[in-house]
Amino acid sequence: MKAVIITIFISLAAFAMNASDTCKSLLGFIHKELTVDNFEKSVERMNKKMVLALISAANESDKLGVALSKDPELLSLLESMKHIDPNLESFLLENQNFKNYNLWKWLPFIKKPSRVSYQEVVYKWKDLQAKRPYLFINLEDEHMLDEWDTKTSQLLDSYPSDSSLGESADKTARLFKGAHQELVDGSISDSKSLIKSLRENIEGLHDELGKSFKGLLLQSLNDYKFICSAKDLGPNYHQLACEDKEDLMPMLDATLKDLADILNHDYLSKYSKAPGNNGKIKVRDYNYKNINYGASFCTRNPEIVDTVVIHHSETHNSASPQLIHNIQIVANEDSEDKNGRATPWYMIAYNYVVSADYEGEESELPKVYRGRPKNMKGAHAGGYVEIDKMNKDARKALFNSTPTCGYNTDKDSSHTIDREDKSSKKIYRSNLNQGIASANLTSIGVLVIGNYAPDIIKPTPKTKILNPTGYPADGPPRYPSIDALRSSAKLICQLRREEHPNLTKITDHNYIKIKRDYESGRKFAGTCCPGTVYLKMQKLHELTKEECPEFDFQLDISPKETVCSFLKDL
Amino acid sequence: MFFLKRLIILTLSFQALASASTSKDVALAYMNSLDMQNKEELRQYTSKELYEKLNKNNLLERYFKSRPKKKREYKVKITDSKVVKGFVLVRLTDEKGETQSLKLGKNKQGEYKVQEILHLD
Repeated sequence: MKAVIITIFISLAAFAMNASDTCKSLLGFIHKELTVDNFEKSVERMNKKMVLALISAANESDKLGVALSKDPELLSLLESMKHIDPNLESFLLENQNFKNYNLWKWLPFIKKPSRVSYQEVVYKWKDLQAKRPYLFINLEDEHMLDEWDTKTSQLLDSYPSDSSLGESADKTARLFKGAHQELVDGSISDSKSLIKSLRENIEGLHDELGKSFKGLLLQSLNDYKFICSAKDLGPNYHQLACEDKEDLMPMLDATLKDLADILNHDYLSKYSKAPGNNGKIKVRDYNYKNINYGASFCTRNPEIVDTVVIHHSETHNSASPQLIHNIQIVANEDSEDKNGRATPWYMIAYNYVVSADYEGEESELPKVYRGRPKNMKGAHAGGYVEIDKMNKDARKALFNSTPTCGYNTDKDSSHTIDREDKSSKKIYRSNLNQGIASANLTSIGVLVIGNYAPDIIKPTPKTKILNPTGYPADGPPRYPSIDALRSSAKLICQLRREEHPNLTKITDHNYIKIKRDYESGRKFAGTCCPGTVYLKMQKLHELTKEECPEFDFQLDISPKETVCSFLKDL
Repeated sequence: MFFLKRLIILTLSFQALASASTSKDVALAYMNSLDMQNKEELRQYTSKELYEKLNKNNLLERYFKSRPKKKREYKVKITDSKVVKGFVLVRLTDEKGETQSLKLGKNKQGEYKVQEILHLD
């Protein structure tokens, strides 16, 4: 199976652009050429919006007692649109709002455009929507023309009318989708003919691309960068392109999945705005290598969770979730608890990983990856919570369900427990009797990848630690970008809606770790995590209010006297 | 011919000796050169990438500036990972209990180099 996947990968890479650079050719193919299909959907969307705008303007004009036939601006727009959409005229004749169209279409002041520029029409509509909003008062926001439509119109102006390119792209896309499904099902039966037909389709597509507007497309769809670096591609693609090709199955699977998303015909109609704008945040599955199957883990009822804990990775922000996973696995490989019991970690400690640019360096939208599955207890918090201070429904769920701990002995990818570890239940019950629960059980960890601490840290007045990927200690501090915070806020809202109904509190890593000791006046050992993200917790809270005003999250952050000195000084 | 054989044996022995440096030796040598503020020696025990990072924005100069030159003794704990191929984690704790965690890996010549300074919470 693995050999088949590697062969497919190599064939795709080799034939995609006939270039020696596997990384560039494969990524170029996925990100650029196959977006032709996406582009055609964009055109469809843009046209629909313009027709809706026309109907709305005609209706509202009518209500105001101004006939459309007396509005030269709207009429000339209508004329331009007829050139774009040859079916518009018959639509107008059948539509009640334009019943007199046949009479007034010959009016002398209607400008008959000799050459229609799509871009011009879109600009005119956008201008009209800004200038005369009362004509579009009943139009949903999602139906207003936006920047994505401008981009589409720019590209469309140079689109050759005689092209079977869309058809070829469609065919290839369907083959890719089929291949992906077969990969998921593990049912690839005739790999040779699959590779052959993929190869033929890709070759055919490239012939047509070469003939028509390849150059233009590459130039216009420059949203997708052509550089093989973690920063530009994000950890998932970086892994695919730049790491050893030994274990390609999960990466190719993820890539084909992403490809299927790009080519999903329902995508643009489902999401009213362009990809990357507002909407539901996409949580990407991540296939972690080096799972420590010798370690145990616990599963829990997701309703137990009432808190989201924010962390930073204290690594460069281009670090991949895999790198964070590797560090945490190795750091805990030989660890033991106070009773000398081995406590290695099964996988990355966090439940979600946000990969984003730093403030002021934004070039790409953040990406959110899954860490531990939603029903798996995390390993990120490092403290205890008092049960009587929990959200009451989460507390109820805690009492009504017992976590199960154990080992995934058959190493299955859905992480099911095959051999139970009963001693963990004893610890859990003993904690309950003391009125406490592990904070990892009642929270989810969200990691913002990046180093939000200075390059020389002073955890105590006499101690200095080198932190080479931090920001210069004698310079301005580094903060997460607003996009990173907004993505985190969206994620929190989404988790509340879809995964953890009792999620009601937002806190920082330091506070969840020390809270119990701090509140009872005991000595506490905190952490500098999440660095300067701590100073943006208020903003994060405000953004959750914007993103999901229906929920009221409680912000529970470290008191200033408990945080690291570099944060106190800011 | 005899000379050539001896030369080959000598070269091989020298290489074997050089690659015999353990991860512990390299980690301790790195810490020692850092404590004694010896940049040239530090370069020998770090990867090129880490050394570049340490010199960016005058980081080492600033670090050395308010830290006295002092030889320290360390307790060493090594994890030569069985799960992640080629990953060696060395944790060094000084007399005051200050701990440093270093990621070591072998370069193409088979020598251990400090590749990253890790902060583990």
